[in-house]
Amino acid sequence: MTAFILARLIRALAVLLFTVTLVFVVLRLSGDPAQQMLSDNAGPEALAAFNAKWGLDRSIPEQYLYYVANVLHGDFGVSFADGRDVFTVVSERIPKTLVVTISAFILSIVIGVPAGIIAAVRRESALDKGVMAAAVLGYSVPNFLLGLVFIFVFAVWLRVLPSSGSSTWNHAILPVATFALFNAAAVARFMRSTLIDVLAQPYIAAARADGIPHLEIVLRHALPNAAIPMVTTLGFVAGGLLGGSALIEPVFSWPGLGSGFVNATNTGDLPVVQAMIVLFTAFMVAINLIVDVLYAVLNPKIRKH
Amino acid sequence: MSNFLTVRDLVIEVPARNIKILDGISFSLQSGQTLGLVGESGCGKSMTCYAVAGMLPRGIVRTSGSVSFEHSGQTGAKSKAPKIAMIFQDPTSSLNPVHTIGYYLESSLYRHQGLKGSDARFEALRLLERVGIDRARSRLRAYPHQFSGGMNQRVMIAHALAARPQLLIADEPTTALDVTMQAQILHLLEELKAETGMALMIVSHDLGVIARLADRAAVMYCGRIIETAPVADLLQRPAHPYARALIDCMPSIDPDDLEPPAPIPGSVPLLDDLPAGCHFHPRCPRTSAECFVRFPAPATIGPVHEASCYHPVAA
Amino acid sequence: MSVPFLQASGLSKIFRHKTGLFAKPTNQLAVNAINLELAARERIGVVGESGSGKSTLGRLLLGLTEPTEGGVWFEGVNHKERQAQDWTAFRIRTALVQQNPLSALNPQMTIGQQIGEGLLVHHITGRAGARDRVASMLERVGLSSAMMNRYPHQMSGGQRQRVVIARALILEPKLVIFDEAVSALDVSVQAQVVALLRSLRQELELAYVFITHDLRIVRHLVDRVAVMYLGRIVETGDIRSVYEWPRHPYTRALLASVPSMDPTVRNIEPPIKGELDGSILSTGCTFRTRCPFALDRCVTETPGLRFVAGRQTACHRAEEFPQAIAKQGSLTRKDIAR
Repeated sequence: MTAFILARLIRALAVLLFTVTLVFVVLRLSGDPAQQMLSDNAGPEALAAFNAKWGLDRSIPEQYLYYVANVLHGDFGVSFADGRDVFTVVSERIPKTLVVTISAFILSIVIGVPAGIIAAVRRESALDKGVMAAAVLGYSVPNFLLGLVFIFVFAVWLRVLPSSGSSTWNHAILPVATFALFNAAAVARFMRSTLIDVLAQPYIAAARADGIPHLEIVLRHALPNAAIPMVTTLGFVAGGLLGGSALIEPVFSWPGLGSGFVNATNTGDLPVVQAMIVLFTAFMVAINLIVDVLYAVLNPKIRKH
Repeated sequence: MSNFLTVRDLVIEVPARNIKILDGISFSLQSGQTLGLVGESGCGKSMTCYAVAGMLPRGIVRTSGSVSFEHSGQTGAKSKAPKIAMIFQDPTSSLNPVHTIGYYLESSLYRHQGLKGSDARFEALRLLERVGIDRARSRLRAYPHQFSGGMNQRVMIAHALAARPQLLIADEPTTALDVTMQAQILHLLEELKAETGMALMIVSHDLGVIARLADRAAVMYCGRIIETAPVADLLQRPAHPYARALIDCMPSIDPDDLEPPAPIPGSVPLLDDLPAGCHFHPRCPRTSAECFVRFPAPATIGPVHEASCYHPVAA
Repeated sequence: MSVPFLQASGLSKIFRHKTGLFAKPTNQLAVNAINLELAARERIGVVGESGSGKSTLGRLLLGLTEPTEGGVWFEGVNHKERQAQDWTAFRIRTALVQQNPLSALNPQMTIGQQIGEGLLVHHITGRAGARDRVASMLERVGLSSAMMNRYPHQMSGGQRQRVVIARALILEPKLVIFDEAVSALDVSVQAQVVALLRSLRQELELAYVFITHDLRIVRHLVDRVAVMYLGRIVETGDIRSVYEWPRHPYTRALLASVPSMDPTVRNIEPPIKGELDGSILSTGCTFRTRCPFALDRCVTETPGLRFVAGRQTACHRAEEFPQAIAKQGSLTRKDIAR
């Protein structure tokens, strides 16, 4: 097992390094930062001064090495926009995003998993069809559209919830609901199909032949097996939540990483964009690592290998 | 001696597809005896096992006929079902991959004997040893995928024994195993039968397995039993043309048996497209007009030997 | 001196399994120094249980996997030296029929398309010619040519296996490897396929290797047999003589384990106990750990195949075994009153 985890860890770090490099290359090629930040009629001295200040006049490989070295120290430079340390700029937004994404993740599991189980166990019944119809609706509607609809219904029309900002807990309800509903639908569908596959297995028929009560079969015999592929699915959901934050947070003006990323991209704030990409990648890689480890822990065929 | 198990005119259907999986089968089993169910794929032998065990899958229902038990020790309580245990064809996929062998055995011991904790563990070890698994202690913590098919089949048998069954139903228990392992498992079943006095219902397409274990055998074709007889009589004096043909097409290792297995012409009909009358008539060399019209009632061949045929082969 | 049709010499195959990133890889010696010869139109059975290496041997013979040691020659050419265009010719002259007909057939293509595919791909005929050949091949394997447009799921298991055989034989190969080709079929269907193979063999002048664990069915299909245990051939020779008087303890155990149709044969001890132990023994006979007749000599000296009573057997004590193997009675179909 240790060897397995170690191998996955090394792979994760390699992915991270690769991403950092890729980000660096792409953004450097995307345009002259000096031109973007300064006004159009800035003179060559102003440009040269800007470049010197930010170290943009050195050769690309040099810039890269400095960049990587700094990243390892947690120094992502300073924001082009307000001169503050990028690390601070980014990290102050992290809690806001985490609050919403973690709540939404938990909520989507709490809603989606039981819904999927019920649909699988009561297959072909009206309940099953109802749940699946709701699920299809839930993830067919683009999540930012869902967010706008929620704002319209709850904030504008019914006036029960605030539409933007993040000052009170009430402000979190709509963003979390938007995130959660979309993903709960996906979770419900996957849970249902995974559980149906497991229930069709010969060892479940053997358990039924033993006279084990139905509830015990679902909970103790089927679910532990269904959990194994579900872990991978939930990993995708978690990753999707993170990426989705860039779409949904701006809708609610929720000051998290997502809106921060959108703002920084619009203003060409290179260091912040780079840092955010690296951060997102680090989160995704961490999620994948957790999924891999959980998968190995839950699956005795790998655990005991 | 009363019959331990009596199945009478059992009909099992899939209503959604309007198919009869079993179309009125009747047989009986005395306590301590072994009944062999013989037939090819689709004849309904596995479904018979599920029906007897009371475990028909979803979408399959008993529409008429009965399965009843009568066993001693339950004075007046004829309706109380006896303990039945079942073992299956592919042992490794019949065991839950996320449960340890220990959990598997101990949960059965708890369910059937109320044993818990160290009592359960002790008994689980004893059962594993009884079925011939060595190093039992370390096996309890292991998972099915770590073992061979033969070992897992022994585990399934141990699990069945935990229920202290009066009837063990074995559905093709050795088909997926190597022949040397098959001999070991068959021998184990013989020993356990003698030790516990349990009745055994064994399903197999292999007449050699039936010959070894069964006292009586019933041959099935397309959801019906077409011949029932003591096993020696069935093998030496089969009356129904299908039973005879089935025996003729069994290959053997006897070097003096020079003829290759004789194929039965045609193929087994699908259950939704059965020939009228006797289902075997398209492939039968002994037909006459009535064979096309009505399914033959069982004809008496011997004192405990019946065949559903208008032209049974005379002994 | 004619060139042997198919020859394997010193053939070995080791599979390496890695259990973890830093764990030492374990070696599995699937096939261990096998020598085999097959003449044109000759039929040989390779029998063994799981773990014997028989399937691996089949794949080695067809060049589907590379040997770790030794070589395979087909019509005088070693697989290792075969060039690209030679391989195509080789594939046309050989065929493989495997166990599970459902997964061997593409569910999206009609059986006519699948049988005829080889003819088109190798430019042997055009479409019209292919259709004719497919129709006649279907008739030859006992199916109606009208089935050409059916899909695999519309046919029974036996019919599908005939389709697989038709597909294998349509290019008129001279060597076919059957790997558990009838094991998944019902007994009556097996009998039909056996009858088919026996008749086709006369017509098509086929040589084949029939790999199976089923000692009963193979007797009707081959002239010679090779019994494998843990990657080695332990006994080989004319099938009748091997079955009549087996001279290796494993062969004897195998034959004694086959359930007899004689209902008086009951309550007999299993001929061998325990299971296959795949660990590689450094010296001696691979069967010694389970052999009831093992001597000290069996631990130190590996028995090689040697000629005893008209066949080859790898046992130091081959001459000592009496004819009757531990089985009372021999009721067969012959004894059934007709």
